[in-house]
Amino acid sequence: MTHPFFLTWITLTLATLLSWWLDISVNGAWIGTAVLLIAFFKARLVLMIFMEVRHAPAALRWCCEAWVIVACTAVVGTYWYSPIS
Amino acid sequence: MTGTVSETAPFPVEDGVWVVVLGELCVFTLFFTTFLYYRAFSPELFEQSRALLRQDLGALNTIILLTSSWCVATAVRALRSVDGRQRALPLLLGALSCGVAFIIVKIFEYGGAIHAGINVLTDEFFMFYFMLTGIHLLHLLVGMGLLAATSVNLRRAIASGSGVSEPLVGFSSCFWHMLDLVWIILFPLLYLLR
Repeated sequence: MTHPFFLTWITLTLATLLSWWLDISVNGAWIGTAVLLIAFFKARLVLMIFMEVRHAPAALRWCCEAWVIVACTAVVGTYWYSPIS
Repeated sequence: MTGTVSETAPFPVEDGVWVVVLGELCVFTLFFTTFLYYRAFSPELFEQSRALLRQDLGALNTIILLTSSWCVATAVRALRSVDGRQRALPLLLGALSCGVAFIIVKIFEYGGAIHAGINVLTDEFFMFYFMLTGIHLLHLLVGMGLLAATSVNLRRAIASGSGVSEPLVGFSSCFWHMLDLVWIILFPLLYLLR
């Protein structure tokens, strides 16, 4: 069965395992950012495919895209914020 | 609200549902950034405490919720046709079982932490950990109540041959996906970020 929902579920699960694997086996300052970007990629997939926003009216689609962009920027930005610098 | 909708068009969801879902997402985004802001002031302490969490259980719960979301999305797709109702009910019950599994894993996780002498007052990290996962868990209970109500409604509709409540299906499914979405961000935020 290769309905988009099934492919989405596979992608989401693999992305989860990838971010877990990155966390335990790779070192580097960029890992945190990569893990957060993977999370927002997953969040967008849930919105667009599972919640069927990709077929929704443009206004709703843009509201959801705006949330992804604003939330991702805010979260990654705060992650990089350093009060001691 | 009865009847069926086309196979290709998205399931009709009332505008108010999206106000609730996007509103919740904005509130949770505020929680995420507040956590990261406090983390910036004591990164060593947050990292020390984070290392005490069970990443495997966090990943397991992520996959459980992803599976439940697949069940709900597939059930909603099945509900577009009258003959799909029989297929939708076990899928909804599957999503509910995933909810129960999530709670069992969470109880196991909380139990392990409390047994190790960790609680909400241990430090700033664990205050956030218990608060954020607790708020998510409360939402999950509401979501399970909505899914249960949808399952009962669907069972009645199958038995009586009447239509299923579209507003209920629309609200419960979107609310459930929103829970999954929040956990998708919470998992790396609490369990993985170094």
